[in-house]
Amino acid sequence: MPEKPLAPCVRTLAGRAAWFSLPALLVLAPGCVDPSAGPTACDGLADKTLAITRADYAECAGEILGALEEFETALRRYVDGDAAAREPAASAARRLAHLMREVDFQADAWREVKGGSARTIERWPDAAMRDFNGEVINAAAQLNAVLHYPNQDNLQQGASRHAQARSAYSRFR
Amino acid sequence: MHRPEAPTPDSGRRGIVLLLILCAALGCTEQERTASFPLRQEIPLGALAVSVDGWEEVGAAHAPLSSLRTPEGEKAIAVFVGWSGLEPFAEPDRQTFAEKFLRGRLRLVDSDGFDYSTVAAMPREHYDFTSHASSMPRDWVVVFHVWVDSHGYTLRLSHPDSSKESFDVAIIQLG
Repeated sequence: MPEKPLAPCVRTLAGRAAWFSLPALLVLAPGCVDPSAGPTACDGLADKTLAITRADYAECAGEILGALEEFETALRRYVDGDAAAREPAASAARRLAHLMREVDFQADAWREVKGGSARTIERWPDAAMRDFNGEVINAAAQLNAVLHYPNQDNLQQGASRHAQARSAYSRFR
Repeated sequence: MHRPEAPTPDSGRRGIVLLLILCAALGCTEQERTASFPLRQEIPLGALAVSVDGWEEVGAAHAPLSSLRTPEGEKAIAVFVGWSGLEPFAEPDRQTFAEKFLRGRLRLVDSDGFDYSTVAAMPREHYDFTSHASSMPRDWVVVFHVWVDSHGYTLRLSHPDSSKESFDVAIIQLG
């Protein structure tokens, strides 16, 4: 038996409900299914917007470096032709993205756009930590490019940024 | 005779947009939360704190610093600020942070409502031009250039993370 068509007002309401709930779904869905979203040393850092210290950040930075290491290692195998290495690389990429969201680098960029570099210094007084963050953001961008389009050029640039992030980390850990 | 048009999805969307604009105009704009602090009382900024310890008009015989020289018709005001909680940071990061923070977050307002931004922020030793500079200066001086006949100053310190504390702007009456 054909279903009775919904009244126009019901259709409109349903359409509006979907319209309004779509952004909420987009925000919540990755968090629900993302296996990388567990407790981390970076949790809560997003709330700290003034004068992050070495004690606040060293452990989280270590986890970020660990995720970068896993990401780069799997990508090397993937670029060398091991198709099975794509999944662990993608998993490490998700883990890295999750940690970076917990630190809230995106808000740093937004503050800097609004108030200049002084805003970044207010949150990150330690120059070594600022260097580390910059290298991590660049390394993640290069390595993510490799995940989508396997190539040696982005991989080498990502590896170089990763090495510089390790060097910056050694100055504040 | 012109008959009113039946509502369409577009007109519904326009209604929502108008509602949001009305909401923004009427009640959704955030009010600035201010808190008054007397001189020498610590103003909490998360793990850090600053206190405004006093102020003075910079005299004619000042240290040879360009920021203390004023153009014709203006005078320099020095506001003394003390920091606490900066110990975890090493030099020169600590000085860079303190200078950027004070320069970006403080404003001076006179009794006529004129608003002045900072000209410079420096460790107290630089202002006093003493030979023995502290390795970790706690006391800082913030310099403003104001109209020569201005008076009745109020210092405004904007909080970098007002969501956590109970104020957006700390008000300090200098007199």
